[in-house]
Amino acid sequence: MIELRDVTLTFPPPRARSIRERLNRLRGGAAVHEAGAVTALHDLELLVPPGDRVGIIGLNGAGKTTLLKVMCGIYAPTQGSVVVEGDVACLFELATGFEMEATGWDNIRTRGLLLGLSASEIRDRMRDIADFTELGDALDRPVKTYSMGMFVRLGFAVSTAISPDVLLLDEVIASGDMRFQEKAQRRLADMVDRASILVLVSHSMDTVRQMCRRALWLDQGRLRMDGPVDDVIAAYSEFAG
Amino acid sequence: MSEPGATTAAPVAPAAERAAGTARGGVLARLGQRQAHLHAFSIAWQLARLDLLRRYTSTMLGMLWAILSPLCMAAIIGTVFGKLFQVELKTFLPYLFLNLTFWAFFVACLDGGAISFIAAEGYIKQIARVPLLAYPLRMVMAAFVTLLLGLLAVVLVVFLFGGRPTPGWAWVLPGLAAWFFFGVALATISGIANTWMRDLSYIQTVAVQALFYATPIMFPSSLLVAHGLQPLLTWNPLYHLLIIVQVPLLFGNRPPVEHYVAVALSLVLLLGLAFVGLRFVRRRLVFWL
Repeated sequence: MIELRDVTLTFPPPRARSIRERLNRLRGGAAVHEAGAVTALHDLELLVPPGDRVGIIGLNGAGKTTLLKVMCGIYAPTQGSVVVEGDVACLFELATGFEMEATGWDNIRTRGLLLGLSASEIRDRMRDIADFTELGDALDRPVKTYSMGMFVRLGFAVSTAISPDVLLLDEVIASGDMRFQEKAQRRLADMVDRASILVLVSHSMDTVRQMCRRALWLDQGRLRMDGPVDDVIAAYSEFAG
Repeated sequence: MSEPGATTAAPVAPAAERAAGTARGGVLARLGQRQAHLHAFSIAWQLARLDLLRRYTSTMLGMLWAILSPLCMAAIIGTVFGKLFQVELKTFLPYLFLNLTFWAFFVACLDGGAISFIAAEGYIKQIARVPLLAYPLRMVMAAFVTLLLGLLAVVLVVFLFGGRPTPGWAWVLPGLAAWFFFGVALATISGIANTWMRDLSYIQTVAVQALFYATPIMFPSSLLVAHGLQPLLTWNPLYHLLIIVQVPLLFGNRPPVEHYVAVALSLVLLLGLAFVGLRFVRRRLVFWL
C-alpha cells in the first residue's frame, strides 16, 4: 500500500556551495537567498491499494519522476506524510551508481547489497544476473571501460533480480540492441507480475495502457486527474494535443 | 512543533521518527531498524573492500608501498630530528613511525570523509536509501585496514630495535577501538560539512596542518611541557589518543587512566556531534548533492 497525504515537495533554492558565494549572498541580502525554491509537488493525496497498477502521465517537468522518488524515499516531503508498506524498489536511470574502477562482478555485488539483498542472496543469483547481462568476459574488466549500453545491461540485470512488493518504474527500457530489449521486456514483465503494486512513469500512452489499470495525470506538480487508465489518457491526449 | 515535513498523522511513532522511517524505506523496509544498520555495515565493508583492492593492486609495490612510505618518512625525519632533539634513534624511530602511522589514519578519515557523500551521489539519488552512515564508514574501514597493516610494520620496527612482545601489548586493543570510533566520528562530521560547503576542504587542510605541528608527532611531548605549552597537550584529543597506543606498543605498559578518560570524553563529544549531524541531514543531504 502507498499512502500520500497532503504531500508537498519544495526543492530548496540553489545553495551557496562555497564560502565565497555565501559571502556574496550576505552582501546581496536575504532576498537572493530565498529566490529559486521550486515546488515540484503540491498537496498530493493518493492511496494505492495492494494489487493496483498505476501509470503516471504528464508533460515534462510535471513532477512525475519526483513523485516516484518521494514514494521510494529518496526525497523526503517538505510537508505531509508518505507511508509505503512492503519492500520498495525503484528503477530509474540504470547507468549511474557504479564503482568505476571495480569489475562488473564487484558492481553486481555492490548494487545487490544496495538494493537490499544479502550476501548469500547475491551469491545465489550471481550466475543468473551475469548470464542475463550477456557481458561475458567483460565482467572481469573495470566498468569504466564499459559502453553506455553495457552499463544499462548491468544495472538492469541486477535491479530486476529482486522481488519487491512495490515496484516503481521510470521508463527504464531505452537502451541496448533489439534482442536485449525484448529479453529485458520479458524480465521486467515477470518482475511486474511478482510485485503487488506497480507505479509506472511513461511518456508512451501505449505502455501505460498496456500495463496499468489506473492513471494519474500530473500537471505542474498537481494531481489533475486520477481514474481508469482510458479516461485519463483520453483527457490528457486532448489536452496535450 | 516538529521539523518541517514531519508526518501529520502518526499513530505509532513520533512524527519525525516515522517520517524518517519512511524516508529510509526503500528495499530495506522489510528489515528492522537494527538490521538496516547491520546491512549498512555490509554495504560499507563491500565498498571499502573495493577501495582497498583498487589502492593495493593498481601500483606495482601495492600493499608494500603503504608500509614503506611512512617508514621512509620516519627514517628521514628520525635521523634529522633525533639529532636536533638529542634523543636516541633506538627510541625515537619507533615512536615517530607509530605516530605517523596513526596520523595517516586521522588524515585519511578526514579526507575520505570529506568526499564520502559526494562520491556516493549516484547511490543516494538513484538506488536506495541506506543509512547515510554507510558512506563515511566505508572510508573509515578502508583507512583502518591500512592502519592495521601499518601497525604490523610498526611492530616489526619495535622488534628490530629490541622491543619484545609482553602481555602489556594487549592494551593496544582498546586504543585501536577508540581510534576506529574517532575515525567514524571525524569522517561523518567531515562528510556533512564538506557536502554542505564544498570549499571547506581548503580550510580543513590548513587546520590539519596546524594540528600536525601542534601535536607531538615529530617531537617528544616533553618538549611542549618544557616550553610551558602543557595546555596544547591537555586539550588535544589526538595527544591522548596517541598515548593510549604508544604506551602499550613502545613500553609494554598500561596507559595511565587519565588518558582513557580524556579519550572517552572526546569520543562522546565527537560521536554525539556526528549522530546529531546525521539526524539533521537525513532528510536534507540529498538536496545538497
